[in-house]
Parts: sequence; C-alpha cells; structure tokens
Amino acid sequence: MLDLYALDLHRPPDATHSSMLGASHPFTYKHLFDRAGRRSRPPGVARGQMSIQCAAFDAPAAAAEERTTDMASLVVGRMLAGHPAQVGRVGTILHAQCTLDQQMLSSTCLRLRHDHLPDVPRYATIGQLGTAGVATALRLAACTPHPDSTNRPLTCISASDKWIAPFVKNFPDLLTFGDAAAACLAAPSGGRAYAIAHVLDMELLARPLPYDLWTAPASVQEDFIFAGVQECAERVRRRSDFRRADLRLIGDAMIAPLGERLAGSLGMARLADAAPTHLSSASALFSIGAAIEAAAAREQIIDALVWTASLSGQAAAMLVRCRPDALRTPTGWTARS
Amino acid sequence: MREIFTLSDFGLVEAGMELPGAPRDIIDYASAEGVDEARVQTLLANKLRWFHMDEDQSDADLIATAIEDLCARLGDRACLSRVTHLIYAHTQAFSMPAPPESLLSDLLGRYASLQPTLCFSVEHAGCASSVMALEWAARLLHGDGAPEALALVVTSDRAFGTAAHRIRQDGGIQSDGASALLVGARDLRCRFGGVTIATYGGLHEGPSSPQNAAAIAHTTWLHIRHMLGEHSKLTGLDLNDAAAILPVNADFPYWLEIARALRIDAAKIYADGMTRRGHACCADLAINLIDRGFALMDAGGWVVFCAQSNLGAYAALTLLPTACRQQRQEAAAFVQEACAACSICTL
Repeated sequence: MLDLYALDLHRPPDATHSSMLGASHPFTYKHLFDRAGRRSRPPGVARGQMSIQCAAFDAPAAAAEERTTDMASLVVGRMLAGHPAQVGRVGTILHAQCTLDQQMLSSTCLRLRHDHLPDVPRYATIGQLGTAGVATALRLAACTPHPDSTNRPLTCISASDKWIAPFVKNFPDLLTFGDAAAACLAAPSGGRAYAIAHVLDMELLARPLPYDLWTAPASVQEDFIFAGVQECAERVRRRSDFRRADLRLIGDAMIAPLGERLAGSLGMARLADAAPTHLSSASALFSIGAAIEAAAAREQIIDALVWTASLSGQAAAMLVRCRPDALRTPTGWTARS
Repeated sequence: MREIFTLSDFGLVEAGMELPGAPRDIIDYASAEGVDEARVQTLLANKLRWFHMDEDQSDADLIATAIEDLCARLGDRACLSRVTHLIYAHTQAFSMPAPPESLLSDLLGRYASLQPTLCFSVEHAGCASSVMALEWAARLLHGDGAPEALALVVTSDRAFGTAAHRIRQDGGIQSDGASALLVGARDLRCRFGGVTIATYGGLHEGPSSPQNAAAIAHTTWLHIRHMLGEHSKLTGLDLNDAAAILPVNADFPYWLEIARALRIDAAKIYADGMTRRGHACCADLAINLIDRGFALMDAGGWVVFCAQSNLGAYAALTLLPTACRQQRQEAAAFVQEACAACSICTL
C-alpha cells in the first residue's frame, strides 16, 4: 500500500525525572488555569503547580528551548537533505502531534512547509489520536489520490512531542512518555524500484474508553490496550498470506508487559524494542526504524508486525516489509537510488 | 481506488451548530471587563454586538449539542450509523482535552451508532482547517467509493481568560461554539463547487510577538483579496454573480477593503453573522450556512465561504445549489494552491 523511502529519528538525551509532569515552563499555558481551561488540562493539577513528585525515572527530554516544532523541523530537514531531488515531488505534509507546543499559537505543519517544503499544496497537523497518530497519517498518505499525484506522489510524514507541565508524562506501571521526533517519506506502492520498507497493510481501531484515563488502574488500561492491539493484529494478519512464524512483532515501549503478552497471544517472536521509553507520537516510526535495523543486521528481509496504541483508545497494527539493503544515515535510513 | 476525483460529486447533507447560552451583549461585557469606552465604540462601528460564552462545557459537550442540532434539522438520527469518517477541525490550539486524551474517543463514547473506519483531527491551519477538513472528507469518501457513505466534520473552539483573549483587535469578538457538517454524495443541500487553499509562508508562529501580530494585521486582507481573486479565476465564477460571500464572522473593515479592491458589491458580503453571532472560529462556516447560505442556495444562488487564519493559511469554498451540478462540474473540480512566496507577502 505504501513505500517508505527515508526515515529520520531524533531522540533527545535521557534525563532523570522526579515529577509526574512534563518539563516546567512557568510562563507557558497559564490560561489553562482559567475557569474554561478546566476542560483542557489534566485534572488534579492546581494553578501554579509545576511538578508532582514521584519515584525517579529516566526518559528522553528536549532542552528547555527545544520546541516540538523545532524537533519536527530538525528531522524533516535532515531527511530531505538526503533527497534534494525529491523535495519537488512532495505533495502533502502530514504531521502527527499529541502535545501542545510551548509557543501554542504556532503551527507545526506550516513551520515544516515554510522551512523545507515551500511549494507543497496540502498540509495538516493530525491530532486527537493520542500518541498513535502516525498510523493514521500513513493511512491517509496511502489512500488519498491528489490531482497532482503523478508529479507530487510523496507525502512527508512526521511526528513530534515534547511534554511540558501541567501535562502528565508518567503513568506509573503503564508507561512513561519521552520527548522525541521522527519523519519518513512515503508514497503509494509501486512508484520507485527502491525503498527502505513497504507498508503492506494496516488495521486501525478507535474505541471509546470504558474508564477514566486519569484514574483507572494501570492493569485495567493495559488489558484494554492489549485487546485493541490484538484485534488489529489478528485482522491484519488474517488478511495476509503470512503465517504467525513469518512475522516479527515490535511496538511501543511500555512499562506494562504488553509486548510479551502480545507475542505470546499472537504466537510471534519479538524484535527488540526501539527504546526503553515510549517515544510518544514518534514511537511507531522508531519501531519501523528498529525493524529496518534488524533487517540490515541480519542481511535479510524482515516482515514486521508493527503496533502502536494510545492511552486514549486508538490502536493500530501494520505489516511492514523491511529491506536489508536500506542505507544507514547518521540519524536514520535512506533508500538506494 | 478511482483516480479521477470530482469534488462536486460531494456536498453537504446538513449542518448543525451550537452557540452556548443566551447571546451576550458586548457593551455589558466590555463594561464589566473594564474595556476602554473608545474601543467599545470602534467594535460597535465594526458591526460587532452579540457573542456567546461558556466557561464550563468541554469541546465534546459543545460538539454533541451541535450533532443533536444536525440530527434534528435532518430529522434523522440513523445517519450517524452511515458515517465512515469522523474529522475534527479546530482553530484554538487548546480547544481539546488534555493530551493524551482524545476528543474523538469521547464522541465515540457518546454515540454508540457512530462507528467510523477512520477518524482524526485537522489543526494548525486556523479557521482554514474547517475547509481543509471538508476537502479531506470528500476525498476520503471518494476513495471508499460507497455512494451512501457519509463523513462527519465537527468543530469546536473556545476562548479562555479575560477580554484580552476574547476581543481581537478592533475587528472581532470570539464566541465559544461548535458545529457539525455532514458530507455525502446523496440527498444534498448543496454541492461543493471548488476549494482553494492558499498559503503565504512565514507566518507559522502566529501572533506570538508584536512584530508578527503587526505583520498579520497588515497582510490578512491582502492575502484574502489575492486568494479570492485566484479562486474566482480558477472556478471561472465571477464573485459578483454569487448570491453572497460568507466570511468568518470578524474583520468587517478588511471586507470593505477587499470588496473595493475586487470590485465586488459590498452588499454581497454577509456581515449579519459578525453582529449576531461573534466569531466562533471553525464553526462560522456552519453558522453562516444555517443563518443565510442554505436559504440563498435553496433559492438557486451560489455562495463562497472564505476562511482565514493568523498563520498564513487561507481557504475559499464555493458551494453550489444541488441542481447546478452539470453546468459546474468541469470548472469546479480543482484544488489549487495560490502562490507560495507571494509578491504581496511582506515577510
């Protein structure tokens, strides 16, 4: 359904956190503590409260001034620098983001267009999918013919998140969110001879939560996410010719043992997680990167079942054929040309 | 997947809206908030008077009421079970639940019959997001190829804080409000005639500094004028033949300039929404269709909706009466970008 030509990953250095909340920016998001803001901030965080103490944990953390839009622009810029001839063939920018930028009046998709792809006619920041937005962005890239699609068949897909107080970065026993960004260049299958990976099929699921995300026990949330991913994975595998043993499972890094449980229930061997921390919206692209890495290391094609799921009810499973001949770049992968 | 996409195969089945509470009088509000009297006189001169405000409901609450309004106007709740795509558009970045919550999941929980195969939001393009969401909806319905399928585009925007956050310079007052737009290929109230997305680079930071705010104030009407001119050329439709131009419900002084520059009869510019409703961002499209546009199209006229942003993104949407599909099909099937580095953009 979709060929991927390039991938770039940005994972800021780990920092040790002792607060449930994202980094402190005292002059950001103040108005969330006005009366109307109650419906847009996490419950239980009081005005002026910039941290909620918890057991220490490590997670990637962007520098204080490094914004969500900066991270997105960084990965897209690095990726396109390796493909200058392709810039004019990009017809759509799709950026997935779960969090608010610390300069909240700004637009990430328009920043990407301005910095790197000034002629692109269509663009959007895709949201309200928790941290699972990349799967939907890939689906949109595959299924929406553009009038100009012969000239501009490529979609620049990116994801980036940075967690800032009063938003919650640590969900104990479930996951910790890290700041990260990633980008890939994609086009409907069959356009070019070379690719780094092929998205063969995918299944998306959006379900209402039968509990409150902020207060439900981790085990309840884990079971719900498990059921959603399992359903997606079984559906997409049944549609394919793959036997369970043919597929390698990889997905979001969680504290909860979701990967082990899914591998057991789906009867698939696991690939090593891309990172020990959940890399927010960029997570699915990091998983694809790790599967490409494994294919390159083993010098053989790896057919990966890549899953991603959000605490907010979205789940996705993608069949991704990863090629061993992808070329490594300092921060990602690119196709032979 | 069919290769040829004809926008005018699709249109609006119905629209619904929610402006919470009783209309508030800008005079009383400004007085209570200590707004300078001279400024109030300017706002009144710019056709502003009534607006809506609600500090307690969530975006999903407002949208649910708009969906109820849509279903009531349509006289059909079963339509929700035919929705294959659910798209949320919003302007105000914070008009959403706290990440990683999802407004879409909230809505799915409220309507058991709502089981779309794909849902997502379109954001970071200001009020132009509403038109972009409609264009995505039509394109995705085309890709699915099921003639009875529907897409539901919902919007919600809320302003937080004091009058400084609710009154926009001299030309607008923010209303809190939501809308629901049902997109399909059958039983239409109006047809999509053409979409123009115009993007003027360099404004992606929004009004985050006095310099940016000044640049936006200086260029917005020029950008709208340029985009509308392009839209008219590309659709082959003379704006003076439109039954009305429906702007977002703000910035009346800009529209006088635009009408003068494009030689459009200023009476074509629908300004009652500015006075009666206030600017509810992405909901203005549905509000102005319900208040005026649908009636004009029922009478055989066509209208242009024009959306702007403070980010350099603009969109125009021509809407045609259902009956004039055949005449307009060819001219209408386009999606066009205006200039990327426009000569009138001073940044």
